[in-house]
Amino acid sequence: MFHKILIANRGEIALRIIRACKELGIKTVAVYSTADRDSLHVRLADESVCIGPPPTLQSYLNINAIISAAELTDAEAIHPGYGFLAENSAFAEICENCGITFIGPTSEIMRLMGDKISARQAVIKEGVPILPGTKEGVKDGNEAIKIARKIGFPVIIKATAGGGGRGMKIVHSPATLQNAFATARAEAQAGFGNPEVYIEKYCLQPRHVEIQIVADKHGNVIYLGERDCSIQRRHQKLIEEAPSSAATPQLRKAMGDAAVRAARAVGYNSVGTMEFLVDKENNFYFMEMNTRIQVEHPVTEMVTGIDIVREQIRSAAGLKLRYGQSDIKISGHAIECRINAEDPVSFTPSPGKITAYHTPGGLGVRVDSFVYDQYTVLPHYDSLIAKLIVHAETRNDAIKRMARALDEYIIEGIKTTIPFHKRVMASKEFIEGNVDTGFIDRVVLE
Amino acid sequence: MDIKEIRSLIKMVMETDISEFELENAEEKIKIKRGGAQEIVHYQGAQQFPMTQHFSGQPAPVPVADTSTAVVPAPVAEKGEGITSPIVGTFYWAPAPDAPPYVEVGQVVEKGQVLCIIEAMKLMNEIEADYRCRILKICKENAQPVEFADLLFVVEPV
Repeated sequence: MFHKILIANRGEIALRIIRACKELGIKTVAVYSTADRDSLHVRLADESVCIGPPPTLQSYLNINAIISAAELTDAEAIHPGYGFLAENSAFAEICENCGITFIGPTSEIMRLMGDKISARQAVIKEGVPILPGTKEGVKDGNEAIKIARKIGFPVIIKATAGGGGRGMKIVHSPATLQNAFATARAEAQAGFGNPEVYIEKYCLQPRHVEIQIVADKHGNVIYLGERDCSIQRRHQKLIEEAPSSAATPQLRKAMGDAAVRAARAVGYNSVGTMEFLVDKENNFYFMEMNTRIQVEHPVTEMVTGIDIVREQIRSAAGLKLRYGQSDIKISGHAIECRINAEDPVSFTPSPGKITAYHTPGGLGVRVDSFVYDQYTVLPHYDSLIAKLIVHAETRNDAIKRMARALDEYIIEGIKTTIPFHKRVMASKEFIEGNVDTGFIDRVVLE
Repeated sequence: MDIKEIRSLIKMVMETDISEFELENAEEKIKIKRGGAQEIVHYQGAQQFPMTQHFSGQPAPVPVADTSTAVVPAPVAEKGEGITSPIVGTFYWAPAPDAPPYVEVGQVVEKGQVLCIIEAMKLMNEIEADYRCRILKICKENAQPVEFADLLFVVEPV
């Protein structure tokens, strides 16, 4: 097991990793920008190293500074969290070359699964269903038209190197396809430095269901059930649940087996998430794989009882998985609400000083947050300030528990999305389980 | 009291069961308190600005700058300005182990003159003076780890 781990991240995920390390008896090193000097992850780590000024490029994305910090503190491993360098294969490779264990898959696997086209090609080989679409990048407008007619409109044009919901264009008719294709390529070049795009069938209001997998370095891979992340705004997840109200045991097993097959085939050896679209007929299609710990991992932890970050660290240390697939049981229902420092209606960022802070408690309530009373939320970084997670016996109980917990949660001095979450918990559509990616537009914008 | 003496005092506290230690004379006052994994040292001296250092129980402490003043650049209470580290690495005050140091206290350096080396990932980075100045204080020991924005030198423009 590692003696010391450096956490190359900030905010709530840095805290999450520090907690797992503490319980494993591993010493922790926090890195921080000058703006994060008073941040909770810096205070709770055993050691800390200031790595740069506030801009992320010079601090949390500053590979030289982070590797230097690891060498100065003799950290044997680096946990990248999510975002920042978590899916940066160059960073993983530098760690490998410096003799530092990168807590995640190998740089080779990251490159394979990080490129949407090569990922699709890899999983097709294992019989994982994908949306009808191109297996390679589309060369020009003429090829685009041919492909789109074959798939059938509506189609969606996506950047190969894109992600997080950026670089996508939906096209409903042949007339607008050529223009959309050209624009998509230009935007992809500008946004990701790579103009390559591919085309897929566009599913109307699908559900976004993802499978959590855990793998070790000995070829063992299991899945920990699914999460439903359909409630999104501009492709940013806002509310997640486990299990999905769309998943029958058969669907869960089919998706889980597919995910494990694909992971095993590419030699996956850490935690990861396979994202699927599920249409109204409960057909599932592979979208992409995320080779990192995800924001919404707590809902899976609540229904399985498994500490996913702990398993990730154990796996990186070369230990065998302690669970077989038959050991995994899904119990009860969990919901997570992402609390952002944003206006609850317009979602405009609202940084500033928190003048009053009180977290909810009681049975089945979990708060993963790095903010505290009198803490100043910074404008430099993303707006997630807390994750409120509840677990209960049934989905209805979980909704009531979340509503109760949201009522108890006090964050004053800044605007937060707590009122938005309260509206969702009270909405008939949510209670009835009619959640798909069109939910926000339908329900909240009225 | 210089940094060596302060270090010895801290070592003494760490090696015994002392949980709190305070020493005061006409010129200066030092208080060392044991707080779990961290020792906390408050030092207030005639020439120095008040400074809080957090040591996490390892031989080479990673200092945290005074929280009541701006960090970058670091204004000093009495006189002079701070030169802070632009990178994370190891501070060396000479180009080689047996070579003479780049600068000494009291020396006047020209703009562009090399003050020290910070080694990061096997690369030697030369830190240069941005303007003509006199070295008032060298804030780091040879081979000491430094963070971004750590105070390296106190200088006064000349």
